Amino acid sequence: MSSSSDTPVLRTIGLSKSYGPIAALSDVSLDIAPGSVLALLGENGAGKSTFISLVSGATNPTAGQIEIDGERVSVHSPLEATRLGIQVVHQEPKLANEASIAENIYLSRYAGRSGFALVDRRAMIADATAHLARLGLASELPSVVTPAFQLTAAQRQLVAIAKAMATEARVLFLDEPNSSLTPRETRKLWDLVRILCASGVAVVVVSHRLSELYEIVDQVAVLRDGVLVATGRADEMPIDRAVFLMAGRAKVEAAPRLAGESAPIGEEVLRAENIWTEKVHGVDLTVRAGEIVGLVGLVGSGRTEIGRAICGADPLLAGQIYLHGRPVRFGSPKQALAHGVVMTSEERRRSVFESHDVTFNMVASSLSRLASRGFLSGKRERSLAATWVNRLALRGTTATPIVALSGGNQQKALIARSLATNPSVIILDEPTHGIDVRTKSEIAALVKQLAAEGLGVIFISSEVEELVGIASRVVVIRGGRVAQVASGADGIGLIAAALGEIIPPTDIRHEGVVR
Amino acid sequence: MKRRSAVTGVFRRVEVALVLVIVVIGALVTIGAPDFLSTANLINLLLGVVTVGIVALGQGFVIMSGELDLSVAATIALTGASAAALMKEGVPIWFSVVVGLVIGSMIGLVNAAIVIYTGVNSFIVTLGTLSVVQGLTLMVTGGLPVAVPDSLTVIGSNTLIVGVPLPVLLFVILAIVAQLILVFTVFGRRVLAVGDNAEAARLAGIPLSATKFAVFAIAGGLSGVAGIVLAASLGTAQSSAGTDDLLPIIAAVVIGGASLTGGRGSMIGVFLGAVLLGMVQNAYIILQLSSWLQLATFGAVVVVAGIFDQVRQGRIDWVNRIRGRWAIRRPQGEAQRP
Repeated sequence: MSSSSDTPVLRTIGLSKSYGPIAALSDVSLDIAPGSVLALLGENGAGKSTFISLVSGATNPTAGQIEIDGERVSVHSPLEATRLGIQVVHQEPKLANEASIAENIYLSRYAGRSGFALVDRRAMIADATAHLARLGLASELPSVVTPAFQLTAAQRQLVAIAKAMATEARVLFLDEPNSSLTPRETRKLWDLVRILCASGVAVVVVSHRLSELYEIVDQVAVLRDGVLVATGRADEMPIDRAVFLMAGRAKVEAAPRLAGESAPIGEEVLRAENIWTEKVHGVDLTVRAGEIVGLVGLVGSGRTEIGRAICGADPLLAGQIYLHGRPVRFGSPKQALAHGVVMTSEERRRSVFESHDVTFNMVASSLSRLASRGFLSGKRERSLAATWVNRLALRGTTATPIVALSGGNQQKALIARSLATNPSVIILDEPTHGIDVRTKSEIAALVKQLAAEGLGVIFISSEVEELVGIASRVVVIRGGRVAQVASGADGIGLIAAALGEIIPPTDIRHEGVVR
Repeated sequence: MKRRSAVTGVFRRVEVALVLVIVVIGALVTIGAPDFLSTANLINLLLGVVTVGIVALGQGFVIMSGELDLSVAATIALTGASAAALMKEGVPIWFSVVVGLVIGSMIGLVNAAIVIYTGVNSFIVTLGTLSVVQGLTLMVTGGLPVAVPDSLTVIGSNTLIVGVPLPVLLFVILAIVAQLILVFTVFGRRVLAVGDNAEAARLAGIPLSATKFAVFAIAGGLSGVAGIVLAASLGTAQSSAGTDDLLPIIAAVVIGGASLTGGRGSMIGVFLGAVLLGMVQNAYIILQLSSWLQLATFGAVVVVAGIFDQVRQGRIDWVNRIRGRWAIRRPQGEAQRP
């Protein structure tokens, strides 16, 4: 860490990457100073990932240069990047699951050696413990012999960073590090980033959660359509300015927070009474026609499982679900679907049919309706898909392979799959997870519009802020139970402030607590 | 951008490539042995692939749904032998045939039940039932060939319809029907959806278990068809029937462009895959080459088909790099890679 303060540790000059005629990144020149935190901002597809993969040697640039400490280098492989001190920690860090924390941190020690070399376990454990202590992580992680699969998402993130730092990284890229972390966990992560910066490491963070990101960044660089549109100090570029630059137009102004007139809320559509599954411990929930009910909680709190229980994906151990006042029992999502209850699941990567096109993906839940005597009509399929492509302003056609779409557009296609069934209740599980600001507000606006048309919506989210202005009620889930219910913008705002803190249940204003 | 569904998109690419390969190899063999193109030889070639081909159609459904059924190879012998044994006992022929088909489907249903209700990988389950079924066959036959009555041989290879043996015609019709089912029916769509992403399919309201039961039952049933037709053609039901067919059955499906992880494939592709394999076999005989080399070539065709599929899907990095460079060199071209 000997570079003088005015030489950037990493500099790119005219870095470009194109795939055939498509330019993923054009002419990006960026300086990254040692000991600083740079926020790399942009919508999905703006070129952030391309930039990271070029600098980290995962792909090779079509033009441009990379300099480290003012010397030109060629980063043609990830191994080379590691040698040069460039490290990337991805959104969901890839750890060897059965291996311990210590083994994960020193995995690279196995890389350059003969396969016959012996592993000094004791030394490795001692080294790992010392290494974590240096990074101030000793109290954040369990014993270094704990296998990685026992770690929480936040702990995995910390281990991945510790692993990166074990190779003397000079520039550390964090790709969406806080997207599944609670505010408290994020603060711990930022503490670690500060420690790294103090020791001269440059940290580049990519995140869609701008307000959290702005707690830590020094510099901001905004990419749009592969072009670097702005760089500057964070205090000179406030969040709204950055968002404006990312979108490239004032379209974001149409964000749902401005709220339209709320639709009149109709009669009760769905009511769950004291439902139990493995991860849900006695939950009551009511959704009325035209109502958006926010279901918030941390990852693992049981919020997803409540949705799964209602739509028949997980077996109900006890309790009763009423639809339009009548008791129903869904043995499978298929039965729920037949009654107009549908769920769009959380991870779009796990929910799309990736070998197929937009049409296949959109009509998958409506097959029986589209078919006559078991035979499908390609024309009817395409016209149904085309309707939703237009209605959701999907950036693609009905014949576009689903994997060619950006994450936000894949999410839209999945929502269309559910909506195409003409449901009366839709459960959206984290529909905006890891999606850029503009698509996020498009989806929020869509949800609001659907509710206005009389649909009952259960909106599962870990970002309470996004529910302010769209949800009429927010239910906080903790440990598989309803911990708190709030309605109105103020009440929801309060929850936003408190979520993620470990508050003993007695401290909470009980409004809708069961058991 | 032209509108077309992914299903017909796949159709356009794999099948056309296979037809080209078949034409090229056919032309090369014809140069060495002009007899190759004689009607008699072509019919011989097709007759040789009927058993493998019909079973491969069933296997196609199984593989496209994301599973694998190794037991079909043994079901060929058991169904043929059971039907023949019943006929020998004087049971009416039509009834014996139905029983044979039912036995085939039952084996499929048993496989499906174990896979669905225990979650054990279908490779393991059917590797086991493969052996179980072989054992059952030996119990039925005592290891000896069972003669079938002459009246059954009407569905064998000696019956010609406009010069084409009945089994060949049956194979062609089954392949067309299977392709229609795959592309145009809700069931076909369910198979592809389940194979592509089972959990997503379930949440989308697709009946996971029913679909898997159906594909395994179809695979078993079609093995029954193949077993009975084989017995009718040979005049006897052999307990060893189908033993060597396991590799070509799976190979035909993969050569036909199906993904071994499910979600993608074509029945016309399976048909052409089976024909291509039969052609390689036939070429060695007609060119009088070493049969040892034949086995090696056969295996090589399977591996090459697998590599070809990887390339097509853009999964091989160094091929992608070459393609990328190529695309840059002519930037006005339409080479788009997402």
